[in-house]
Amino acid sequence: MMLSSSNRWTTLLLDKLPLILLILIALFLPLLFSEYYLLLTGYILIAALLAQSFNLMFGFMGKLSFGHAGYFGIGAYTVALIATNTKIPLLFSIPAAIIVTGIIATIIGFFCVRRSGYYFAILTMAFSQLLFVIVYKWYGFTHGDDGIHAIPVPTFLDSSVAQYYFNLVLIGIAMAILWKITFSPFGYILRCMRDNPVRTEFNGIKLTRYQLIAFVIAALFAGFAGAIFTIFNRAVTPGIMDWTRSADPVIMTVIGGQFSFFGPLIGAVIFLFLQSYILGYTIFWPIIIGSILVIVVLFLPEGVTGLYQKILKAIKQKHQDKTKSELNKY
Amino acid sequence: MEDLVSLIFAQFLSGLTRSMVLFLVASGLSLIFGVLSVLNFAHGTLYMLGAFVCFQFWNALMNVGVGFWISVILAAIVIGLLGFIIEITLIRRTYTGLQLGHTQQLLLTYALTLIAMDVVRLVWGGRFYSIPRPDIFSGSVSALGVQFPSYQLFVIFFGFIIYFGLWLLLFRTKLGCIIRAAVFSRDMVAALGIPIKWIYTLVFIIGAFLAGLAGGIAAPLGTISVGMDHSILIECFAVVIIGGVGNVTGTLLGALIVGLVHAFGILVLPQLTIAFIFLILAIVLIVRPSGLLGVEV
Amino acid sequence: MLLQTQALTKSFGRLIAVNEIDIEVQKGDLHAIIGPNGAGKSTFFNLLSGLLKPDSGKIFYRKEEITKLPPHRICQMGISKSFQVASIYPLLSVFENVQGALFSTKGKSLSFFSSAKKILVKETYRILENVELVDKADIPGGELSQGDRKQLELGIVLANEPELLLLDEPTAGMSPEETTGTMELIKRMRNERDLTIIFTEHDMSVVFGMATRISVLHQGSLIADGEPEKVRADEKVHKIYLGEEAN
Repeated sequence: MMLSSSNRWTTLLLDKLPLILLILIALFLPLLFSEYYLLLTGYILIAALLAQSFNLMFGFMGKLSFGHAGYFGIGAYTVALIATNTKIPLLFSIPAAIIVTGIIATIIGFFCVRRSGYYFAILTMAFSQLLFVIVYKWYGFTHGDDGIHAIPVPTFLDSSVAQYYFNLVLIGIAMAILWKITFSPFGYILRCMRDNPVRTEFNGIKLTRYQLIAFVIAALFAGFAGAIFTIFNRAVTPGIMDWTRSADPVIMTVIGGQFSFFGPLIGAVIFLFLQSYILGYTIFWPIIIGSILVIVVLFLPEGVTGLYQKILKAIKQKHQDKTKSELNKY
Repeated sequence: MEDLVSLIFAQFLSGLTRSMVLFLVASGLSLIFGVLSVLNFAHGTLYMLGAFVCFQFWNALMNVGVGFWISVILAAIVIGLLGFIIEITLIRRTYTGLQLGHTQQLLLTYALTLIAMDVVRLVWGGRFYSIPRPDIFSGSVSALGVQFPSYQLFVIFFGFIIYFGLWLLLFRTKLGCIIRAAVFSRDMVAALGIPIKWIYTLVFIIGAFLAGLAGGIAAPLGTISVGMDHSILIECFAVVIIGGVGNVTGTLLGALIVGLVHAFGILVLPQLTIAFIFLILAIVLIVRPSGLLGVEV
Repeated sequence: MLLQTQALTKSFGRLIAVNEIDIEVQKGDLHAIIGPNGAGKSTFFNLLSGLLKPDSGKIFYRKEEITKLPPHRICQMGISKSFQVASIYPLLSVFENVQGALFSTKGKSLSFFSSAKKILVKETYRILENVELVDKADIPGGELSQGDRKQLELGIVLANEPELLLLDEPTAGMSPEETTGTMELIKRMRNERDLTIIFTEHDMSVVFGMATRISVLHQGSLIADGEPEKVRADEKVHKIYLGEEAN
């Protein structure tokens, strides 16, 4: 069916429009909105990266991890501990956080990827909770429940605008790298493992090896998000790595859509915006997000992005039918 | 030396009490997981709601002599009913494929914990509540140099009664036979013309009922508060996995292990006891996911 | 000699599915494994491809023992398998189905930073041409007909660039035209790519139309083995196939 070239551009634009809008808003945020939104967007960016790294395993590889917050916490605490105990500059503490997270994730992941479904979920949850308890109880090292506060950051980050762009640039780069990985041949192999593990194995792929690699990559990005969080938040507490925090990236991904690369990002935007808005009026946020989750799971299995794609497709179809019927007139 | 014996005995009884509470809650989770293949994240919530509902009834029946016992039964029934509603409206829609269905179930049951948390806050506020031990068991018993609250002895006894009751149900009744068969093969049971959909519903009701019952029975042992669902949930997972999914004796063994490890762990390594339990859970999942007595995974 | 089994045995409980089978497959053969239902063909096949592990006995490929190797290693060694019910990727497009296999074969599976859309495109189209699925390249695998799915799977296994192909009932579920087409395709592929093929089949016209060598199984044991004419004339084979058309 021949679409005129202007129509092709229109559909391409519509497809990418929400993303383009988001990017534009993100770039010019400090000019458009108040400081409150700068802070909120900072947290959204961090949560979005965490959710997108989670989705590398969930949406693209088919394994639901219920322990992703653990790696976020490891990254966050590594930076916090380095910053408060040493004079090592930020430039090195961020890579250190990534490396530490990677090592721990490799050990834990080695065992986790040998299981799937519920057992994978519980195992990741158990390990993550183990990490949480260690951080929580090791008062001498991590200050336990008190957390670590007043974390020193370089002076150039004193202004909230500078901090905002710092977050935006670093997380933007991280997302770009994650994008590359997701749409690389390796990323395709992940999808193959998701859709038909037997066929993939018989194509010469050792499943556990590739799943471990994906697990570690996801954890590395989670650790990076944690590192940025510490710098942004200037404080860390063990609560950021409790298992209930591992549910947040899951919820954001499901709402946004697990089969789209930007689904988790959209989900993070919706989740955190709603949360901050509703908490302004009432404390009863859990029941609202819980209900939304139920509705999305039952009626919107592909999330908001899935719904948007369906709407676009329907519009395109209607347009094609209209064009067809017009052509038939001749 | 005598002090040591007393201490060990005291910890043993205390651990046993905890084990029996865990067993009561986890038995439902194990049945639901074994028969329906649903990991009910809301199970801790059902336990918590059981405690709150029991408190509500007890509050109303305070002047009735056996008020507490009636409240426990009523609470269990209410929670069983809640389980019925949950299964019919939500869980039933997810019995489609393997992975997809499981993800949906996990998310739905987790969503229920969020919703229930706020319902509890709305109805009962954020306070702590407590129910005193019932009069019959308000005293204590001494043995081996230890003064032990008789209510805790009752809980231990009650746990074993429920275990035997479940065992009888599963191994000596036709219904139980069907339920055990469904753990092995849902399709076979359906092929035999048995309405598997209603078996699922029934098992979910039983599981919820047990959780609610546990909530009521355990209420006098501690405080009733909003966070009690989270703390018991992950221990229940440990109990079910260690003991073996879908096997009631396995769940009892798992509960005994977790409860006693906890009780003796806090003597030896108080800070890391809970971590130790997660470690055992992880090791079981790595080495032998079917647990001690479970069906081969 | 390309592949050899020695006293290969596999039981399921008290049922001996595969009983001490010795088979030799020569390079370039189109070797058929046939037998009535329950003869042990599928089990034997699964032992060859690494899906099942034998209770005893050995399998040798190019003189190396591959008995205990996991499926992905067996594929890497040059043996590729297609399944009785075509095992493909339902959500990926036909093009991506084959491309995914090529990524693995050509060592691109650990390539993290290149764009998958641009890699091995020509090679993928070449395979799609071979299995005549070029015009369906953008259709999700799940939407193909049964016959097309088997074609697609054939494309996937060819993408593995095997030396030995294990085809489990390659024409199952196909119409007569599709069957003939697939037979021609298999023979052509075998010639063009210098393949050795072991296959199982129920359709005797396919067996005698393609095979250069036939092994007959019955209740787990090998009862006849040799050139098609010899097997066709074998009395034991006639007995166990009483009532079946030997074309």
